[in-house]
Amino acid sequence: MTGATTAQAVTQAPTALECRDLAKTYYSTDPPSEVVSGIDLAVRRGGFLAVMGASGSGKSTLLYNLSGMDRPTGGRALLEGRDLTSLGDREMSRVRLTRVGLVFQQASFLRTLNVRDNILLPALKAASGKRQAAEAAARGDGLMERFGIAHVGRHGITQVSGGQLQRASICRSLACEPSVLFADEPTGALNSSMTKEVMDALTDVHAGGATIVMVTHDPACAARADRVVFLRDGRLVDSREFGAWNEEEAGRREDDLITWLREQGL
Amino acid sequence: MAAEYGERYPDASVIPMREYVQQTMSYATDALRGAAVLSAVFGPGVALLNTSLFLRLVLSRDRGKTGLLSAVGFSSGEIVGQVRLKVLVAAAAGTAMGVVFAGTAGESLVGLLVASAGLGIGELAFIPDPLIAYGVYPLALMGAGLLGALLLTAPLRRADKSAWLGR
Repeated sequence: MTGATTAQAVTQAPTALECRDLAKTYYSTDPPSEVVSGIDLAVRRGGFLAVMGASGSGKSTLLYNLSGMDRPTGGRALLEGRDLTSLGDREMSRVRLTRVGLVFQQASFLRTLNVRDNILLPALKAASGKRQAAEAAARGDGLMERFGIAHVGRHGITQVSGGQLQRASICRSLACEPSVLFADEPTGALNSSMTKEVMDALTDVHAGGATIVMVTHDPACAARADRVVFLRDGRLVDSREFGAWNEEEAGRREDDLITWLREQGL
Repeated sequence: MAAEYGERYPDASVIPMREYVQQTMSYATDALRGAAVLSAVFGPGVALLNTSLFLRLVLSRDRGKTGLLSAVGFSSGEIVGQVRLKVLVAAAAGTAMGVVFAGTAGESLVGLLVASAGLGIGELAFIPDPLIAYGVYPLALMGAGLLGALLLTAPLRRADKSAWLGR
């Protein structure tokens, strides 16, 4: 599929993720702090949205409230048309298990498991019966092969590089074939070569049809998205459409994005 | 029997053994009884406090792990249930070890302490009520530990999961 047809397919695709008048206020502080408010946003299936903004603008808070990790204090968050705010704890955890994939800034793993077992953990939890478990294991192995970490599957998590760990995070987040992949500063703790490894992996995931929402500070990473939104003081103030990613236009696209970010005062 | 001996030996003062012990050793037996009652009352309190403090440390240490499990689809109920089960197992193991220790070395150790305290008691024998010593009280200790776990883990259900991720 060419870049133009991919972009066209995305604009015509049904909405994967949506929020209406979404707000999050932390009442544990005195006075209560309203971190995000009045956010209206929709991400089409197969879209790649980058969320940018200064530190403390509410990017990560928005991501965690859209992904079912946290509960918004106002408005609604809909995943494939299903209102997450109305779900109970058990249903919400089921959504996180099967419909959502999460990648964090610091690759987070269980130290007692090797890389492969960490990747398979959600898939095996979701599987019921031996057949599904075997399918999940095969899917996990396939992902590790695809992202070039099959050879470190039996390694402990302290025996692999940051880039490999983050690619393992991506494998784990895809193990249950989620409808949306959320990434919170996935390259924030990596050097430039590892950043490229991880962004290539995410671009590959997106090219495979996945919907991605990524929070980032890095314009080079945001340039991979087909849409970038900008948050300021918890409010969505502007957005920019880029269309499908094209490696040849990377430099121009990044420059374009930096100019736009300067206009936003970043 | 004491009355019988009293009639037979009117010149002597005859009193029942229990009363004799009460008259001569009451300062020691009352003190031991008081100490036992206090221990019984404070024991579950100490168990509650210990469990709460250690669990607070463990929860703090495992924040990242808890956040990760939550992110990959474990419900708050499952995570909280796992923590409570661990506390219950630890409390049961600790209580069982305590009961065995008290039933074996406890008596001689306390006897040694009392003897060395110069109370005039050379040897001490526990006469425990089996139902209390091996049933009710261990259960009360485990219950106190579990109560600590219940109180400390209850807020986890309502917490924002992302707060555990250390972002």
